[in-house]
Amino acid sequence: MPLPFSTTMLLTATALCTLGALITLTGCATTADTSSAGTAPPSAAQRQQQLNLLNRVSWGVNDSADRVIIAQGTERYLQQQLHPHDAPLPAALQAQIDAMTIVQTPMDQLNLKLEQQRKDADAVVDIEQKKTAQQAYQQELNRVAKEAATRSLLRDLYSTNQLQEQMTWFWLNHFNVHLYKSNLRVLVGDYEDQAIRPHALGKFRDLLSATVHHPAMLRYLDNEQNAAGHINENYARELMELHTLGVNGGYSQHDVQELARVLTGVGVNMGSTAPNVKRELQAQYVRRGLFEFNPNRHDYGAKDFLGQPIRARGLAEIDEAIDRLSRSPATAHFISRKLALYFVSDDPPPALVERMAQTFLKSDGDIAATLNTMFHAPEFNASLAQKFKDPLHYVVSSVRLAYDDKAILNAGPMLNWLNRMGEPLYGRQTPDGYALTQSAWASPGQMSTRFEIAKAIGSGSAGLFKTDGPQPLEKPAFPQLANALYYQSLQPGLGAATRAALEQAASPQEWNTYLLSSPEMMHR
Amino acid sequence: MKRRTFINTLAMLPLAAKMGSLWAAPAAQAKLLVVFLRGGYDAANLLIPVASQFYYDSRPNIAVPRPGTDLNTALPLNSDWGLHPALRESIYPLYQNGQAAFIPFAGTEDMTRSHFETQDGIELGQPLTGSRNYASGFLNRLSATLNGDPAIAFTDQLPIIMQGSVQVPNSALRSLAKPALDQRQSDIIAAMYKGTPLSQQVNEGFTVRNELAQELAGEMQAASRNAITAKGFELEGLRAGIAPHRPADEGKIQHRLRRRRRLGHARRTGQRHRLPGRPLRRTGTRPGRVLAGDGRPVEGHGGGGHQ
Repeated sequence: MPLPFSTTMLLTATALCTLGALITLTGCATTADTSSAGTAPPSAAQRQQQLNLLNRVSWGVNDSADRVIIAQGTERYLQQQLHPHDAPLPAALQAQIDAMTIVQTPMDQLNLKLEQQRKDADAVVDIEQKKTAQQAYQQELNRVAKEAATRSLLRDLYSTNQLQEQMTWFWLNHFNVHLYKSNLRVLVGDYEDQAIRPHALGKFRDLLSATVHHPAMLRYLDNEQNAAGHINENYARELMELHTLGVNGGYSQHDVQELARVLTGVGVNMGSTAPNVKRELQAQYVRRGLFEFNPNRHDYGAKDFLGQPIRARGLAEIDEAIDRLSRSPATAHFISRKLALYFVSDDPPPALVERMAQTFLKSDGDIAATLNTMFHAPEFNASLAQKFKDPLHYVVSSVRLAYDDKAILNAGPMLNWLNRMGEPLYGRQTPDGYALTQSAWASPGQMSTRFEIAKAIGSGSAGLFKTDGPQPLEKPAFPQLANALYYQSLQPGLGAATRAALEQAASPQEWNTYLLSSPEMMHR
Repeated sequence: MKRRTFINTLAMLPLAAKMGSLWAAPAAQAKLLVVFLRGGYDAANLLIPVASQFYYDSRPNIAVPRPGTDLNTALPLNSDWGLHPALRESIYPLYQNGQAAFIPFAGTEDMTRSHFETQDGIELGQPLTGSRNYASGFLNRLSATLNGDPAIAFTDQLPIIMQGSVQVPNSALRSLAKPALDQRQSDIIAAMYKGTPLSQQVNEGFTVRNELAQELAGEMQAASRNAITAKGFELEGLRAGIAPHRPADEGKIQHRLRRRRRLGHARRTGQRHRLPGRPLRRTGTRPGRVLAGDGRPVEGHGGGGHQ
């Protein structure tokens, strides 16, 4: 793909070769030394390369993240990102999150409460009152879903574990669910926080298993309706086509049917009562929160799946199927390619995907190890600053750059922008998730929308610092983009056309708008 | 590109909700409006093979009865086919007037049973064997064949069906407020993209946004005699009981409207022609009903549901 800023890229390309060679020849530790505590300060090209890498690995460059990577050096930064420790958010942000209903109330309790509200509303006799009660129920569902989306954005903006947050969104998109199905608005926050995020850089098998056992997924892909004699293949098909093996992953329609049989009886229980289970099967019944395995609904017949038998024994059959799926070479390739699609290129180099898949297989599906292989590949380094941002990356990186660690008071404007650009959180209706390629997003309509967003952020009029509620409180916060980070780090990487545009700005607001509208800001 | 032409034809349709008006357009206004329903539906429950014993044998409980006097029976189309009775007031009169036709057994040879593969296959319109060019949708190629007659997608993103060598503009009708950036600012931003691969999109985006906003501002005013606002229309729909979920707030309404637009990809040509400004009220219920069927997922429906 041709580059948006040609002169800079020539420099950068040279830097890439240097850095790539360093890594291959001398290994990681040495590279870290050269860029941090080493004696010689990094060259301008190395510095540019480091910024580009930061921009790719994180949700976007800002001053505080830049300080961290300068202090740690590229390699130590990468390792810390790949193996994160708990990093508390700044107190004000943590307080925002801690005050959320979805944090204060566990999912199963929240669900019971809302189920009761729904039943009460449906039971109201008077039509107008019933309508009001049902609306209140819907509004409450919307409110808790908005909490989840807000928490997600706040972490993307402010967490120091940037890669973990990037990967959380990546897997959330990979194991997509849609918030407007049934009562999923109650479940999406827990799904993201409990099923996805803890495993985002862990073992793929654990991640897969967590999604298989989460009520959001079981409801979204209809497995709660899948029972012996009433097979529903939806989930079984997507588990192989979209989550693990890939559409050409070597499975057959027979495998779909057999996996659907394995999955019979795996569902959810949103109520407080347990089903009647046959006496001889009662020991097999499992209830964990909203997750339920009902042996009455399970097909206990013999099965063969992907060419091997599965011993009939109830819920544990699923573990066997998950093992088989997560350890298949087809899965290793499918996942590796998708990671490279997200982090490297719209057309991932097959040789890179192959090396990543080998790491995936050797490490028993270790996501961090697979990413480590990718981050140290020359193909990765050569690709920096050329991946077109999807709407979420554009919005988050712009706000990060504009406000750094200054805590926003209202994520609503960001959620609206994502709606306008067609990529709201948990908003993809179909299980394939949002597209990760430029062609899906770089349309004329989207470009002009982005420039309008750039203006809203750049002029400080976006409402990010205006609280919700009957008496909104606004703390005007005009972003200062022409700051030390810009002059010391960003400016050298800008193309001549962008600099020329910035020189024509008639006001600081306009200057901000142009910077956020620049081709460089559209890429990571 | 004859931008003015498509804008003028677009202006015939100030709101997607007025889609009903389109049916009444005179034959001289040759246009092709493609609405791609991205859900799935049971074709044999819409277009009923009333002459097929196999159909009735296969569906002992849910088959739609052959045409008869009962209101629940299929509406007769010809000796082989009938229409689901729920379409009595909507599509059936169009068929009777020769304004609607059905093409049964149209499909692909894609046997993956993948919803997404099949969608892609239809949008690409390329042979399934061999390598496919994922940047070449069939409507884009059609537009090229028609000497670049203007096409437009009323969607936030350019769908695969419209991607290709012809630069097809897109603009969701929802976001047609006054442009936030003035001409000078737009020019300065466009200059940053000069010579980059995004240059065309950026220029096209600014031009379409400005011209649509200008043209539609006038049209909306002219067409809005006695018409209710979009919000009023939604409320009207709720009162008529056609929307499955009650929107809790304005944002939700927008969400739903946007989804509907994403489902529709239109290509249109033709001379300048304006339909009389018809109040939304008159045509309100029909598109509302269509929307309810394919727009927002209804409880227990949608999501990944496809078999």
